[in-house]
Amino acid sequence: MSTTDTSGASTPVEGTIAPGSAPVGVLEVTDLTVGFGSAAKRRSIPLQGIHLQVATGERMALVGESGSGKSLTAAAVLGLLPDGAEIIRGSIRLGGEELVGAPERRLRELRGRRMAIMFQNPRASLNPVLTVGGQIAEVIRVHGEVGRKESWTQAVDLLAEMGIPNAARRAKDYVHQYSGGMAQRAALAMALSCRPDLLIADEPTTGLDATLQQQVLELVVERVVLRDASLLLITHDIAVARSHCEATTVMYAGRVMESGPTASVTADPRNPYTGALLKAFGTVEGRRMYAIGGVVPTLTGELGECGFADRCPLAAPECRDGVPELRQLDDRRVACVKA
Amino acid sequence: MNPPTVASAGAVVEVRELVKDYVTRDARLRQQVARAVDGVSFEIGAGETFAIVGESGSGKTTVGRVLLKLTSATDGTVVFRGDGILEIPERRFRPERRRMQMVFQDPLAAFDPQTTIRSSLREFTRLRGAQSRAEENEAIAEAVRSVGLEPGIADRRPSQVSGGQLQRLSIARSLLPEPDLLFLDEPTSSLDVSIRGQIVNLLLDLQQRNDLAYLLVAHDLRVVYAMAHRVAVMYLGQFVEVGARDQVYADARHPYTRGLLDAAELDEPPRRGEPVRLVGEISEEAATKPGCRLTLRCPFAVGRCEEPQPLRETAAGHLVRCWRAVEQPVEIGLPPNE
Repeated sequence: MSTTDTSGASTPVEGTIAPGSAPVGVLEVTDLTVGFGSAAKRRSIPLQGIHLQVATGERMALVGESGSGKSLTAAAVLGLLPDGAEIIRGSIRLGGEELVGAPERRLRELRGRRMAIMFQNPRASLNPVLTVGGQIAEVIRVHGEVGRKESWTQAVDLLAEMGIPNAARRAKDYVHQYSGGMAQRAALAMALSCRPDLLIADEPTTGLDATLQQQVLELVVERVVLRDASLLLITHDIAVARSHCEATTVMYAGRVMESGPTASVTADPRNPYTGALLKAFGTVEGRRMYAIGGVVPTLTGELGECGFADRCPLAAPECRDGVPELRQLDDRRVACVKA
Repeated sequence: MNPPTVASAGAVVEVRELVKDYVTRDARLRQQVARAVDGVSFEIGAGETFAIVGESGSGKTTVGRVLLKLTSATDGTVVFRGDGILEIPERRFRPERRRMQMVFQDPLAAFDPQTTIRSSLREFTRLRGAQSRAEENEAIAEAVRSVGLEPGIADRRPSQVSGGQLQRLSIARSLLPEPDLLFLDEPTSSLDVSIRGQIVNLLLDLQQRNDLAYLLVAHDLRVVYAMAHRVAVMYLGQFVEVGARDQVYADARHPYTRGLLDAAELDEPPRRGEPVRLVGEISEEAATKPGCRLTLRCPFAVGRCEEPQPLRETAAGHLVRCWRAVEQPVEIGLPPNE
């Protein structure tokens, strides 16, 4: 397959941050392809040439259904691919530094200093046998070269900043003593304690009720903006992207379908899949919900056609002539021959 | 005293003043009583969907479980097709049970992973009295076709079909005993958005075709909007607002309902009144309060809210458990009562 160079080829749009237009993005993913199994015996190829750019200070949503590859993309960026998965080709650059092929020691260093993650389950980011304050203080101590007492004070301040009431007392508690919303606030404190340039939040509020989801997402955005860091927010809910991120990348079947400013992607989708996803979230006509027929393709090998063609209302014969490449169209990039 | 509710003619099920306590013991083995359901009343007619919405911990799933006698009630009555079923011993209730079925959130939970879907379904055809193997297979084929699948899929194991297909099959399973009432417990929350609409539309078609009564419990307010005829909003064991779908969605009165709707970021229908932002989290400690249980999270709470709050009617069929919503609507950002 030929690799199309789409990085840096775009024209910035005045007054907005066009994704991919920043000369040096915090994160630049190019043609990332990840497979399970060995080259001789490939079981599946869940990522098939991902292109993704996050500019400095940008809040980017990575939207897709389960199986689209959004969480695996994040895992690859963090150097935390599951057992049996390997990068077949492509590049991941963090602040210009190539991560594909970097030694594990360097990746661990970067995970502590340059990028941090928040998981869907906050208890996954916090050690259950250490106090919440103790483990945050430890991170601060390691990174900030401050003493024991100072690091504890900073940990308590950080917990208070995340809206945990009585932070000085709650810092001495264990994570199981926290409610779901409080635990996610503590996980955010933990993630931000190393002052990352990039925060990756993987469905950070999916298990929470909508009321809490709103509170936690607003906090994440506010605290990230305040630190001038970038955010990659992974979500299945395009409404979440619309309210909290200025840029949106839509994934389907291991490919990027559309990427651009959230306002224009959601108001005027150019890829039929984006349009279908928006309708599936929004539209109730009478007593009917919008439904996309068919099922998500299984990615046992690299697709030779548009992955959405079987389900697409606009599908035409030319959609089967190879995988549509991601090309610049006005203020965004779209992978659709009909766009 | 029964609070006023909309009586639907020929109710399939009528629930009055239902109470459910869970008794737990703390680390010192002291007995603690948690009231999960606190005096809930409603009825569901044939062909009608009654939805209960609320955050986790509101008690909504417990209502459905008590209704199906999957757990005992502490107090109250449930009349199903004319019989008070809470008093009937399990042995005598069993023949009635086939008339009320459940669709689970996780369709995997509805099937035995070690055997084919057909043999799981077969048990349910017996409930409706299928005699021969041929009769059983015919009933299975018909049920599988009614959910839009080819009958041959029944020969696979649960792990060999997709999540959406398995949820269809779990719906087919629940229809086999020819029930009058289905308890839909978060029927779409394990499914992807692109599949969710298919299942909602299927459930709507089946309801029309078979005149089924649905009790729907769901987080997803878009799904509830598409399916429900009437909606109850539940908070810490109590209904705080009950009404026709459009009354609750377009003209929500209770601050909790308004907070839920605003958090859900629905595009439609347009709502009357100012947006409401709830603070904090649901906390069981408030469940024992005699007054309004939302005060710590409600932007409009004042002293009088600590007094007991009855459900009051603000329009025909529209009940609200908030004195301010009834007496001072304009002061809490609502249009005046009609």
